[in-house]
Amino acid sequence: MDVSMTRRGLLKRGLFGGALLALGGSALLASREGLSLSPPPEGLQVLGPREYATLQALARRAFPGRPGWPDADTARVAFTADRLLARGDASVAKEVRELLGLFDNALAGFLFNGRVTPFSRLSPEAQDAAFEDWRTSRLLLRRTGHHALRTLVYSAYYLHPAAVAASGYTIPEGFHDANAVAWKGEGPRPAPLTQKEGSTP
Amino acid sequence: MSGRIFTGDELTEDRTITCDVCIVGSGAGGGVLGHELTRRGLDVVMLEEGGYRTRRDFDMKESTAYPALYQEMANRATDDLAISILQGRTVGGGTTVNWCASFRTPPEILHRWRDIHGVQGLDENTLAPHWDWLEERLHIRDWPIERANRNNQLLWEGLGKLGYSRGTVKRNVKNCAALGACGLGCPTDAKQSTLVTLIPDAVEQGMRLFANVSARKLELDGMRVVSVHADVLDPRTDRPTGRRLTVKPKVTAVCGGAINSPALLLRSGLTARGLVGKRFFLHPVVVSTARFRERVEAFYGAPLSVYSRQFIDRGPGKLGWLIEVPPIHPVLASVTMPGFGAAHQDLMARLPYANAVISITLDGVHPGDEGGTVGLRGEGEYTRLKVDYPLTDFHWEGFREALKVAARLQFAAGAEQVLSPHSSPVVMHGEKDVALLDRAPYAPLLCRVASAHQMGGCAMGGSAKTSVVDSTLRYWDADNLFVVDGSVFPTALGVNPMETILGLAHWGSQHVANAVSGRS
Repeated sequence: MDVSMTRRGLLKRGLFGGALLALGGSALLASREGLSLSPPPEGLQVLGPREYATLQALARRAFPGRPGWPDADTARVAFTADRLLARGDASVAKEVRELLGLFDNALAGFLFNGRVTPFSRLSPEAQDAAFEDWRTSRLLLRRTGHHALRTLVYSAYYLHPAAVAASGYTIPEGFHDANAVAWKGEGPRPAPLTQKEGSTP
Repeated sequence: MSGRIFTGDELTEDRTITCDVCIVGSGAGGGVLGHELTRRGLDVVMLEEGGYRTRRDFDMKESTAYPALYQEMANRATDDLAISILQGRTVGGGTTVNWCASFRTPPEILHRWRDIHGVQGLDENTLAPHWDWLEERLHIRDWPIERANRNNQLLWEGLGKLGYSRGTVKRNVKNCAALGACGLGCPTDAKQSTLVTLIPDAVEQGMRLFANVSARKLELDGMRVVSVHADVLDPRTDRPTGRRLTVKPKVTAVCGGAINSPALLLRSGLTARGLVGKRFFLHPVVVSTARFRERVEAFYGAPLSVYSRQFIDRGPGKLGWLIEVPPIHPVLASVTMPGFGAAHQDLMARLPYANAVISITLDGVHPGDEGGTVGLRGEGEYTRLKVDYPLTDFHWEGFREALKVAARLQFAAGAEQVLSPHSSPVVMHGEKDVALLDRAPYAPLLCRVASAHQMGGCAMGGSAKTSVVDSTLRYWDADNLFVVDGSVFPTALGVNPMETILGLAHWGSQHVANAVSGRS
């Protein structure tokens, strides 16, 4: 096995291999429908409906219900991820879309570990096992995919104010001034703030 | 003459401007250089790809800071994602978002640059007056242990109990309220970054700074850079607006940092015989996370104020490391902490009780350790850059030993549990469990690695055959092109790099100024 494959190699080989096998008679498996979710009312900027549903399915496993914490749907993880991807490099967004497609794909699942159901339609326990299988894979390419998806859902979730609050971090109050002057060279430069020194807020 | 800070929304037409010096990048290197050249009366234009964000924008939220202030929204990484890379992208560069740690360059590193890499005229005595001036202007002062937050105190206590060397870190702050938000932009301007010190000083003296302007290519005529071609970006979307800014300088200084500088040279067809992008170093970091019974609240207080170089030199062929602690905010903690689902939630629910020790390894100082590579994925001005950093048994041995030391330190300080950075973590409940780290898997993405220090890629040296810039920071194969940032380091440092870059830029400004007047 080539374990030195890059992120790009991951996607190219994964999709290319899938296409070849599909041509060999596995098209039905490759095209099995995944989970269907209503798209967010604001619309999606990067993800397609299936990719959105796949990512939200993964987020539901990352953030099961817990008292005092927002769940994945409340935190709108896949929607936030879509907006994050929209602000970044378009080619990265494309790679993530391809990765999500591969991750949910039943044919890819069959090739990797013998499952014939799209990830997003697996039982919760089977979803955990499938994601874990990517983490522990001997193939660096699958571990890379696991890392990318995990980072995306965690980044998106912990941007939600309720998740931040649940983690115990409270933003110190009385220091940020949203109306402070942003000096650009015109007029006198604002005097530095005088702030009492401290050791913790 | 009064200068000006322009932002992308103000640049509604294609523009061509002339100047003495065009500086690409506004961080530790560019900020100092711009100040020093403007002080000498030169007409300086500075280009910064990131936005002009100030304390009005610094609301201490990760949701605001990472997309606005960091390269690739804080998701920059090596190509295989095995090493995540935190790097600033805003006016002030890394100085706006770093954790304020200020170290002069270790003398042994400067000696190595001289003896192994042929760098001439750059020793601690030469740099001392430059550092003296910078430490005064940027208010670099010791942060006494009495003012350390609990996260740093735990490290201090652990180091003391195990008898290891320890010290307090100097910080570039003034009237610091110790909010803990250094990495998210300082909301009180206490951090004496180039954003609030040298850059506005230079603008007052005439420097023109263009934020949201991305330098795409240097145009050469023979041995001289004649133009810098740049795209104007929309501050709201960070996308090109279609407007172009062309700068025609007498001298160009590339100060984009150790990834973007080599990438700009490569996009411009400048390879230095294949050396551009090589000898790229990351100070690869492994993080050991501990849980204490007491509240640590590592998200508050001065983030980094204690260090140890006890293990920086482990002898020939052994990777050494610097020991520090990081701030622990929810987003970074969530992607760093192991586990998934309920297990991960359990860890995050105990975030206020978490302490982390970071082992910052010193790369590039052992024979055969050439670090990584910055390259391009394709041809042309808009191709994405690509960072590769092969991790070998040499690194994994160092990481494993560093994690053992970190766990022992945390237990010595009273930790009730320590987790390794493996994707399936080694869970330790006492000193007796530290040996479990020997049996853990060490491979890319099975053991997580990070970096907040990028160095090299345009290495300085004594010969054009082995380096990209000479000992005056001039690109060997162009008369009026300089590189002034951490990319010129021939090796990593073993300390946080900001003050080395500041000092190098302050010292190097004389050479850039001389080039404007035609003196070598």
